[in-house]
Amino acid sequence: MSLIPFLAICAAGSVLGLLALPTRRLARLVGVVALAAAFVAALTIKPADSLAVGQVQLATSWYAGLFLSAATACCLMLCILGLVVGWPVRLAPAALATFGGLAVAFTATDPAVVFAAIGASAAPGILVVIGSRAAESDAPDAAVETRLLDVSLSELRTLGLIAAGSLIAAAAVLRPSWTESGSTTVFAVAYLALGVAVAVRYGAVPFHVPASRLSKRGTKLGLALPLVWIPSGLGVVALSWSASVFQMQGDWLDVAVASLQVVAVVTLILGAVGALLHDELEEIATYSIIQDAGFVLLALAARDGDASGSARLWLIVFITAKSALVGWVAVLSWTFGSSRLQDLRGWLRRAPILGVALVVIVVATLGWPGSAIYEARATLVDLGLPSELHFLGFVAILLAIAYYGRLLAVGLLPTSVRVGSAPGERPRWPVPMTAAPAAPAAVAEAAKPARTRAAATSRPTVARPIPTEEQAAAAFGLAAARARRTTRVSAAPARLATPPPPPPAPAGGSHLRVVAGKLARLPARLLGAAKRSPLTAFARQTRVAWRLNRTLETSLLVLAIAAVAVAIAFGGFGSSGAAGSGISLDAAVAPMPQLPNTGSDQPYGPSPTQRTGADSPAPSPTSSSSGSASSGPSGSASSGPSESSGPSASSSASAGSSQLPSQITGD
Amino acid sequence: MIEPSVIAAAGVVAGSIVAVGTRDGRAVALGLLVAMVAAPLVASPLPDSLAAAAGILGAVLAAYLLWASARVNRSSGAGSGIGWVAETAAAAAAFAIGLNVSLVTPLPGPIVAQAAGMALIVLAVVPIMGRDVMRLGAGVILLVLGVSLLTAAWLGPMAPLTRLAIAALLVGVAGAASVAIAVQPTVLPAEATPPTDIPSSPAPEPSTELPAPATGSSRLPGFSRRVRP
Repeated sequence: MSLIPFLAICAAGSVLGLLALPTRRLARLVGVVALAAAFVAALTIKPADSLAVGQVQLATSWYAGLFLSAATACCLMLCILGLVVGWPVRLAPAALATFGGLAVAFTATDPAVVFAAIGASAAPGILVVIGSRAAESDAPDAAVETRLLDVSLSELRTLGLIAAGSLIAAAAVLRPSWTESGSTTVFAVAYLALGVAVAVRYGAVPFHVPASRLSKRGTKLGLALPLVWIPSGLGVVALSWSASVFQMQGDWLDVAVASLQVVAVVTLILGAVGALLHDELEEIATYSIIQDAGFVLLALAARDGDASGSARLWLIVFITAKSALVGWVAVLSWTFGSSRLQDLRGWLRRAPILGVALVVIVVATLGWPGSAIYEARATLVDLGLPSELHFLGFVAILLAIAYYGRLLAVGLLPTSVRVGSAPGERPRWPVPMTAAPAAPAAVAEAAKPARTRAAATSRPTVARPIPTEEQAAAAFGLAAARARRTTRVSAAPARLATPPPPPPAPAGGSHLRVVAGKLARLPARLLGAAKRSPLTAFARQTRVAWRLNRTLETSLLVLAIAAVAVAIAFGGFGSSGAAGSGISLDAAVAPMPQLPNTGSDQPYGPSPTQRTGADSPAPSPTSSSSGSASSGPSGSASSGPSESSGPSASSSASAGSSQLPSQITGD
Repeated sequence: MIEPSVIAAAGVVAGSIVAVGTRDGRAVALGLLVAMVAAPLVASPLPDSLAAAAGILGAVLAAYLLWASARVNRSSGAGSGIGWVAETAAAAAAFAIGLNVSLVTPLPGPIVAQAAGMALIVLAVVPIMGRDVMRLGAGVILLVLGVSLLTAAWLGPMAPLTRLAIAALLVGVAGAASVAIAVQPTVLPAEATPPTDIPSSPAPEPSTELPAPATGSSRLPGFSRRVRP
């Protein structure tokens, strides 16, 4: 039952967010509030709760709750960042729809529902990717139009591939009585379809062109949805599905596994090379995401239960660390008005907190020997590749350090003119106008954030020309006027220091009239006294200071996301334990036997929940006994075969929430 | 007596042929509506009222999204590249193959579901390979619909939540296609114009006027027919 609030909030927030799109302020308000509510609802998802919808159960798990909490938290923080650096249009409603679909996919015990839901959850990403022409020029430039068309076509094809691959995988995992004796070919086709769907959505290297185009679309913060959150959810489901082929052997299956291994290796190396060669921050972030997606493909190619726990931990770290990286790129571009590396020389001197955030992101992504995330990556390399290629894990780490180090090295170079003229992260406080000698400098300094913000919002990625002295002088007048408005609170005490002229004495009036006059002026006097109080002045100054320190605030927010990522990477928030618990599909896939097919008179198809419904036939002794579970594959839980004595999916579905299997509860 | 699933399968294939064979965007939406409404009925026994209602509602919503984007943008696709006769022949061939191939024995669902699914997948191939957004959206919808029909044939009757999830998937795909149609370029550059060293005549400027009704060869060189007002 604890899942219902989350699903309701996601559905309502998505619909309301789309309806509110024409009104910018309302859309932002609805988006942030709905995401905050969804985050709280995700936190309250209980690990072993279940909800029956018809004959299908939605059984929550520890990992599902943690994944959804992390994803909604990242999306919320990116949207808060977007309030300053540029609101990601349609990100909030699209992300809420995606998270709702992921919630159903992670909790449904019927594989057909799982894969239909995961396919549906991939669709909203297109809202962010091609949902707006605002990022492009309004003029019908042929090159821009061609790029827009290419993005639309590739996104639609990717969506079709994910949907078709998911449905084929669902058909395969439910194991109807195939005509072919071994049915390994069917599983090989389904395995390849699902693996290719994951690879294409991540943008793995042979399929990296659409992902590369996305980085040039100006989606900025919206990049996290199609490249991080959606493929990660797909990866979680694909990992659980892959347990169905653990025990299978066949030539076609070997070919499919080898294909995925090749794609993974190429992605690990060439993704990092792409990040090293590109100069735009968005492209560097995109290729960094692509490179790290190679580990998910390695987990799929491992065909080993021990890889699943590591892959799940990696996926949670991936969504938080890469969300932080996307936010980092957006904030750095906004702060200095450019996303080109040659314009950003010396950025670290002006934005040291962003530098710390980048280091934290690197630590969260790579870890060090002995840390949970490092061991997870090492496990995936060991299990996913033959021993001769294990050195590629170290090569991938070195290449990642190289492109992250390149970013830091550019930040340590002598400061460029653009970076030097930007406000940086230094805290600022509104200066009173009465301080005459310091006023011009203070006013100019106070005006910088607003100027920078306006320029960056209008043309966030285009390099701005450096103003000449005359232009700067002309701009200074505007800046001074703007700053006078912002610091009028500070100037208020100076004005109030001059006493107002006394009211004229009543000419021959009675004493009663004098008292009445004083009473009439009392509210104004009280109001004036309240305005003159130091507390009110401080509050107003604080408000002005809040506006003046946008750069500092956004940097701190990025640092907060990175801190969450590093905490999860080192096992915080129960991530290590949750990664071993898995999702409901694990329990549904692992003990799935070759079902006797009774023809079309069977009430509902061969799914574990359908067989255990109230009006369904009772489970046969073969399927209800845990013998098949204990002797067969143990699912993709990290504990592998040692947990094979746990209850099967059939028993879990029939017993309800109190007796859910350990793959779901994490016990 | 002809079973309802056979009639529904015929409706699915007929609607799909209309969707991939016509140029008018609204006709494409109408054909897809017929196909998506009839698809849940290709089952034996027929789904219960709640599941059928969910499927039909999802189909109407998905078709409306396409209809709205096609109406607002006065969008029209390029039409079938091979002609509707060839599309019909290909679909009929795939349908016949689906009737005579048994991948699962015994088949839990109706055999016509497998046949219709194969026909839809064959019909979806050409639009998915093309560069027309409207046709590509229709092709992706037909692909998903075809695979879901195959699933229904191989796995037997679906649970209501499964039907709801597939309806949501179709709505999501249709919504994505409608968004792509809505933002499609106003003037498309030339498709597959081979580069040549011989200087050719300059390409004509894109006109802001609505073009004359398109016939087979009345297309302006270098630009597609689609001009959005």
